[in-house]
Amino acid sequence: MKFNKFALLVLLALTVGGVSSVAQNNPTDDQLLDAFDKARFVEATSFSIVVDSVADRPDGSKKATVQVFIKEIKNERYSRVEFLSPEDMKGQVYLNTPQGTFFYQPGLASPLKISGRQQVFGDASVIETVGIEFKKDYKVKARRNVTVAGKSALEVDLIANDKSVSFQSAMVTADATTLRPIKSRVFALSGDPLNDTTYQEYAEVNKDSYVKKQLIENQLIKVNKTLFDITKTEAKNFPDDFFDPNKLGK
Amino acid sequence: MNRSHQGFSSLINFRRRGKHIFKFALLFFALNVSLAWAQGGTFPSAQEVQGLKQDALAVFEVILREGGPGDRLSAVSALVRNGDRDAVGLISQALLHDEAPFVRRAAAEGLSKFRSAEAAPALRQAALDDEIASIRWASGVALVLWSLAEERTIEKLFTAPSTLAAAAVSLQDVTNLQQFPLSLWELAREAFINAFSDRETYNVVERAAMLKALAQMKTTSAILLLKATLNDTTEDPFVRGAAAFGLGILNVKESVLDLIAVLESDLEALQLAAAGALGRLGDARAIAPLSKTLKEARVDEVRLSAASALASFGVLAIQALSQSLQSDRSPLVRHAALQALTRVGGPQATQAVLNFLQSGYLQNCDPNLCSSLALEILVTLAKLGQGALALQLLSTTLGAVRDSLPFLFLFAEQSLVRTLNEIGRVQPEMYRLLLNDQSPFVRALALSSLSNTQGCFARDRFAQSVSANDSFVRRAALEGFSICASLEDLALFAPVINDRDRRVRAAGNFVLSQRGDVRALAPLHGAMRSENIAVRLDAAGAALAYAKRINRLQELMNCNPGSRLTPDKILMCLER
Repeated sequence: MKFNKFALLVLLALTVGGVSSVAQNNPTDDQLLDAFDKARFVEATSFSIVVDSVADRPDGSKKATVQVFIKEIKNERYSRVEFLSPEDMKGQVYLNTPQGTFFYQPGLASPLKISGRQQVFGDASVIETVGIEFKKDYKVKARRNVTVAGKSALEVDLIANDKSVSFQSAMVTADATTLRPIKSRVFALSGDPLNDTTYQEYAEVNKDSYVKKQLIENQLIKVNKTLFDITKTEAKNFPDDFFDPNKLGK
Repeated sequence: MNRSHQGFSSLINFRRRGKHIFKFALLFFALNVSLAWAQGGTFPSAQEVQGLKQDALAVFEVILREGGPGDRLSAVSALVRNGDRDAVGLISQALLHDEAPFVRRAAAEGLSKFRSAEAAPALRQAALDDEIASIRWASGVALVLWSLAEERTIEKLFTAPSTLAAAAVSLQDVTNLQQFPLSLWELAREAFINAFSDRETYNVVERAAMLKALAQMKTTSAILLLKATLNDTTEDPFVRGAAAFGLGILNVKESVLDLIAVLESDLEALQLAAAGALGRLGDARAIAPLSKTLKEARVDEVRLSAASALASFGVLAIQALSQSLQSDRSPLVRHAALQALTRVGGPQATQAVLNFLQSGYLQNCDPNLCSSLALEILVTLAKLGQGALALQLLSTTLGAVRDSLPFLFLFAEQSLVRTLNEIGRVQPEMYRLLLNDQSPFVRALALSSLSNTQGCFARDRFAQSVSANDSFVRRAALEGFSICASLEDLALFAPVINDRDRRVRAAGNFVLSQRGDVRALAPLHGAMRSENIAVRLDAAGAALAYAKRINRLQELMNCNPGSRLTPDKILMCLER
């Protein structure tokens, strides 16, 4: 009995300590951006996720399943989006590399270079499908305390580090305690909001958090909504060639 | 019961399912057999068929055990598509043990086709234990399709929010709904109506799906909920849009004024769905508001929806549609107006289209923005009795886009073929022109279209082109030829099942599996040993389809399965 009580106290202490170590009183901008990314992605240098996607309109709905492969090669992030269904999209591949974004489908002699803002399915762009890297691509412009659904939260304005970044500005609202993003918004160059993403559900694999369910809402044309549900995550070392646009279709 | 009695009973049962199906099946069967007999085909023995089937199942077993996730998905799909009850074990194993959720879901959905007791334990387990809600739901549905006594599983799935949400997302789709047992609709209705108000648990996409599913299930008891949601200004516009959609599907005539009112809202999700619903309801009071929406709505998608809706009102809508075709700022909306005018038809609509052609808009429009509109014009002209003009424009268009043909072919092959189908139906001389074109892409498109419009009447043309040097022309010729192939053509198609091009392989496998006699065995066995996994997969699928066809033939004929089916035996069986 005493042992149980002791264990409970240790557990409580660890939990409280864990939370406070993440939240800190006043995290630096870097810590903040790092926390945004760590909460959403599994921490591995090479991994894949399977995403069930629903592109919805008030008068209809379409479904697709994609597999996303992500790998860090020489400190740069590479990603590959591959359609598994529906049948007519099967075999389509999007590659996002530091050299740009590429599209390939069976029959193409070589991949096409496209914009990272290109929509993959529903309203989700290539960049949103593979996940925006806040720490690498953005710096904090402003931050403020707000309340979301009765809970204290942080609202952080971000601007891109480089002109090549697909969305030049963004805003993240995160839980003030855990620093887990609750929602984010990306903006057009004009400053008009483009898409809102609500991170609806987080899950864990080996105690590592990732965003499991997210809702993407087009703010320019509020007709479509896209729901992403991650059904599988797997840490695995994929060959570098897998992310080489010149190897697509070979 | 002796064998002939069993055969007779199954025939009687078959007849009971429907006189028309029976007649069609018998006719198809007799034609198939007669064709084979006339050409001297010999069918394999039951042992040979069983051997081929076992080889195919072994190929699938290895791929499901050792293949990559994409190949495992293809294997499950092929087993579902081509397999018989002997495939159930492998599919059930995939449902329970495959690590990729999309493979497990394909297995769960596929097992619903077999309605097999053998699959029941796996389905029961997956419906309760799989970590993914949509797989639990698909397994539950497959289970009740096998036996309605398993209704409790569905009840249980409706009590958990994650599977209830998965059910709503699935059942809003009419195709999925039609497969869901009618006797369980009431259960689904009750679950969705109760869950809808829970905004905390369910997101807007899931709640909108509940309303759409309720409407598709013709839930008249949900009309009050739909009306209240449509007019609830605190509700998300997307969900209100789903309510508008539902009122249209349920044909709630008294909601016309509410739907007209929300057209003015400037909430695009709501406007879009309300326009669609008003089009469905067909109340003439909606013509003026829809015309105003078509002219003034801020968002392209809303104007597009208004254009489509106006088509329901026939000639009364021509003025608004014609104006939109002439002046809308978006080629997409003009496209919708054009399609709506085609649906309306008649001399006034035709004149509106001709006026648009004369306006010169297309000549000055960016091809990236207007290519679909240009193709649609050709389709429209053909449908409105202006085939000669469509053909003339087609020649001009092909001349203008010649440099982009490889790109167009790759990304818009289906749209281009569809366009040629429409023109070719009214102006068959188009094919002579296109089949002699210097561009292989044009010739390939013409062959694909020829197959759609003239089918086996163009058999000689396909035969001439199967040896073409250009791979696209050869592929289109093989695809066209495959549907007309006879036993004589087996030698031509047997080698192509090893081709690198998936569509060429598909043509070859189709002929071998659906037309093949005993001579199909060796090439299928050979391709199943290919080093290329895609070739093995396709051949194994074709082998299962072939085995199913031959077994059905044997069953229907009630011939001695221990020996080969020769022409004499076929004749004897037909006489019997």
